[in-house]
Amino acid sequence: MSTTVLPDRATAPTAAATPGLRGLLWLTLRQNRVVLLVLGALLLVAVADLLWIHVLCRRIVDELQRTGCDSPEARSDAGCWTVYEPIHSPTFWFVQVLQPAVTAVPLLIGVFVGAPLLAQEYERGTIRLIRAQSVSPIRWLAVRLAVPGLAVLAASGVLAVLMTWVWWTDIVHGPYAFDPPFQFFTYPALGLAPIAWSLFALGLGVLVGQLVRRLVPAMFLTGALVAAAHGLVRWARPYLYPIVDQVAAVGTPQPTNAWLLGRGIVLPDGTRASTDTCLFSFHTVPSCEAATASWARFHPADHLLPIQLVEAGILLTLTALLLLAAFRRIRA
Amino acid sequence: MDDPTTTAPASAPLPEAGQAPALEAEGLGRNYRSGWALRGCDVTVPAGRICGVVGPNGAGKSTLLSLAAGQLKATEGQLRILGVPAGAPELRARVAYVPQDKPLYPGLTVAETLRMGRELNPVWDEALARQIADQGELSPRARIGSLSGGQRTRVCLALALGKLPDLLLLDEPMSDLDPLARHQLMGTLMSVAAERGTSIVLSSHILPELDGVIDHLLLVQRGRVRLAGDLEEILDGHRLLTGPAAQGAPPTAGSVIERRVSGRRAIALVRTGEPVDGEWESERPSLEELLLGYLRAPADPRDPRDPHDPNDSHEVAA
Repeated sequence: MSTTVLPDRATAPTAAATPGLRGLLWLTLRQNRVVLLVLGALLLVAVADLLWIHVLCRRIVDELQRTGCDSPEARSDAGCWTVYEPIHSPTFWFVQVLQPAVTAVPLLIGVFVGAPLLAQEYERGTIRLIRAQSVSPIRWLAVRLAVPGLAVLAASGVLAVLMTWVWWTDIVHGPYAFDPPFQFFTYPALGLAPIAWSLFALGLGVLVGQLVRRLVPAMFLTGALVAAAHGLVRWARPYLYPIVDQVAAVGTPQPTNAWLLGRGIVLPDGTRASTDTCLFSFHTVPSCEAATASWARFHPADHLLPIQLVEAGILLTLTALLLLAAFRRIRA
Repeated sequence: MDDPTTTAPASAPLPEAGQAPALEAEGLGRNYRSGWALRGCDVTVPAGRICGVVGPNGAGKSTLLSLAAGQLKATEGQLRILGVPAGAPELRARVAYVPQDKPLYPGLTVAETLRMGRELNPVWDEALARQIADQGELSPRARIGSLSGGQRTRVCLALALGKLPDLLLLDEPMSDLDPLARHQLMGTLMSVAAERGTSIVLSSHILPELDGVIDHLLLVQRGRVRLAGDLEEILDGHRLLTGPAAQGAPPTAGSVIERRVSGRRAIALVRTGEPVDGEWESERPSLEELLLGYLRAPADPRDPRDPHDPNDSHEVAA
């Protein structure tokens, strides 16, 4: 919007340099004030909570080392048990409360940040108010999305880093030493998953809001779609990276923290039978006693990172496509 | 385009001659899922005019204004605003638009809403915008969501006038206002228009609100433009005839727009510039009489794609 298109406005009382970024930023920050405050407050609570868990676990580890109780066998000792026992409270809180809560974060972001973003503009008619100003709708949408987008990126990033750090140092490698990464509520609260899923849910909510144009239906539809996408990706997740297919001697222990997709025995004729067949149909199948080896199909714990990278790549590509569609529609 | 009423009168005084027309439509049409909201619209509104768009509810007034504001895309035909195709980016700063539902952000205060206008427009007259808001005794710290309909209208007009547009599009601007505020805002609007040569296109179904304000008329009915042109010329081109009811059709060369009988008198609105002899009293209709005459008469019953023939008497009612 240069002033060259307004030749008759030389005497205009106020001529701002360029309407746009600064003004749009002010407007968007003003409109997102509540979202940003709530997001910040929730993040603060989560960070405090995670630090508390970490400090508590550290203290117990130190205590276990000081009393010589740090080997798992020593815990059967009554004295050691009293030192070890307090670990259950922070661990329970992390595994049973925080991890499910973080799993739900993308859904909540899609429903409460993404869906209202454009649905409300259309429902209240304020999209026409914006179109009646001198800024380009594309630029307006870019700023309108950038502010909550960056806030969500920052909040989910901080959350993901802290969740992963506490899980790694205090839970899976801590005195509790359990919580395999591929579990339903563990995987989505680890690594890149919270970030990628949050951005995807935000983009999905924005487009759904733009298409539905009504606040409440857009929120419900976004929630349903995020949940459905989560189910779909969880179903497809084992195939995002090559599965390890291992044949080993009978009685070989399971790899720790792996995602076991199937296991059983290898019969003398070389055919495989699943463990279930062994257990339940011993009349039709030759006895499992005759097994020559055992087989297992699984993702070892170190497949966590590549699977997360592939999944995040897919989700971020989808997010980009969703936003592209939203920008194409705002121009029309 | 062979309809003389839809072309701009050559004799009309153009305040800024040589300037592109404020609005120029050619075969303009807009289709919704429910049907055509506006079709076959051929209209020119010269620059510097205050044009009233009149018609019953659902006639296509809002569609025409939305198209002019670039909020909607035309299904067919051409629309040029200030000489530029409607919806062009350079029109954003030159055209102001107040939609019928007066959308505003309910969470912002009056002052923040005006700040939005200042931030999002390259040209902004803070004093004018403030003046319009202050006239209504609006507290700058009042939230938009707490305002009455009339107060919201005032804020919308402040936003629209503050950007000092060359063309102001107002969709039913005064419907929420009390008579005093209406009078006051119309006065402000007129003085700004006169001072800056702003063209104004305003739609309304409140006829008294337009009298003495508009100098150009656009009558829209069922998605068609029935009458368009300079107001004085249109009024001069019509006669309101009063005569005995027993007389039958009034003796006139023009077409009878509407005829109704009250008691033993018959009143007919006739499109003709010539005086009428005989027992019929002839007078120039007022704006309201003219508009009511047209609005009462049924719109063209034939295929609406045909342009009206002013010499055809198919518009006779009763």
